[in-house]
Amino acid sequence: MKLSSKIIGFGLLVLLGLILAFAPVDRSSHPQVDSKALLAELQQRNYYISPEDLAHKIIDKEPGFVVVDVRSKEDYDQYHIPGSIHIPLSALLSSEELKDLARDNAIILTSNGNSMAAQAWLLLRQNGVDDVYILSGGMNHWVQVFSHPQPPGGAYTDDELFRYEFRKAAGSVMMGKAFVQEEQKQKVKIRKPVIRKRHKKTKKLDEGC
Amino acid sequence: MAPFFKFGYFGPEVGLIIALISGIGFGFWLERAGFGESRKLALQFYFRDMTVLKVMFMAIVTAMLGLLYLTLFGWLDLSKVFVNPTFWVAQVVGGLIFGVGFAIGGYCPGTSVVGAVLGRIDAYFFLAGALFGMLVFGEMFSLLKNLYNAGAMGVVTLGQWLGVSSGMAAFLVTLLAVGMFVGAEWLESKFREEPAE
Repeated sequence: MKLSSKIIGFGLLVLLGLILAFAPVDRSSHPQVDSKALLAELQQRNYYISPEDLAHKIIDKEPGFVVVDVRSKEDYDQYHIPGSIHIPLSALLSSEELKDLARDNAIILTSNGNSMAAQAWLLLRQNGVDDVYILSGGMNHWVQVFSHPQPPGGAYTDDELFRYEFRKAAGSVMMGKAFVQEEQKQKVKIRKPVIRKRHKKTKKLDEGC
Repeated sequence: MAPFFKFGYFGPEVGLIIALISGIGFGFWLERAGFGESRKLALQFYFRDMTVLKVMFMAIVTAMLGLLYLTLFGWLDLSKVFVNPTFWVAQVVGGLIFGVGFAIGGYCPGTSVVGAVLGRIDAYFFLAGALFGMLVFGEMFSLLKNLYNAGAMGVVTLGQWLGVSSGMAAFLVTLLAVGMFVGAEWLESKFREEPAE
């Protein structure tokens, strides 16, 4: 039989397939979660989002993110960030809702402080959810920032001033009550519109053909 | 480590440019394979010219072997590669409609664009029909919603479905492809018209 190029091609394909059939492909396609690397990432605080950034996202109605409240039900009912959903820490991994949401959204975790959200962050990252962030300071910081914003004292920079102005302005929306305007003690000379750069791209692209 | 986009080597903007370049490349090679002509494409439904089947299966096998070998070498994280979810009822119905359209129109969506670029009038009509079909589908979506979601199986690969390893599934698909190739050539030899004397 003549060894045509077609026969060689077929032989090569079958050989490549045969090697694969007995190769540990599945083992190499599920890389082990590196707990040490995750912990280092957590400590570098790359995955923390400031209250102001989150407030901007909420006010701008930015798509592609969802705030998940991991506190107890009572705490959630008392006050929660507008638009946030409640999934307690214990139900985090069994939640189908979260699985669906995580497919198209970045998850922003919030608890009273940082620690429970950080636990939830580790839990989700270890289970293959990649796009997870933590609200820096949690609800305690959030409430303090938006209900009693502290005016910058002493020599303040423009940035501090803008942040204070934004906190005051966003307070009424975030806390769900008309925020009593403090008397303007210091004359504000410059009033540039608050434009902030988004630090993180949270929008996911549609995939498929 | 690939996929480059998922590991943040480039952003969505660069991704769009890469998509444009690979899209142009795809169209170019479709044309070079003769897929810009509806007569050649339609011949496969009469078993006279099975080029489309052969090319498609070889492309699938090439991509599959490539992905799995890159994974095996540790250059690709396969779990980060997007897999379309399976809706088997919807996909069977859609496949049949697609096939009928292919046989009648002589193009599939990608090749119709190639044909239109080459200036073929039937491709223009095919494209207009496809766009009109999209409009009708969009307007009728609330009626078709149950069919659209019928047979949902979630994200599942052939290996998971058969209960074998991905490598074994790949081997079976390779055998299938080679079998199809040989079978297609046999059909061609049976049905190919003798050139007119």
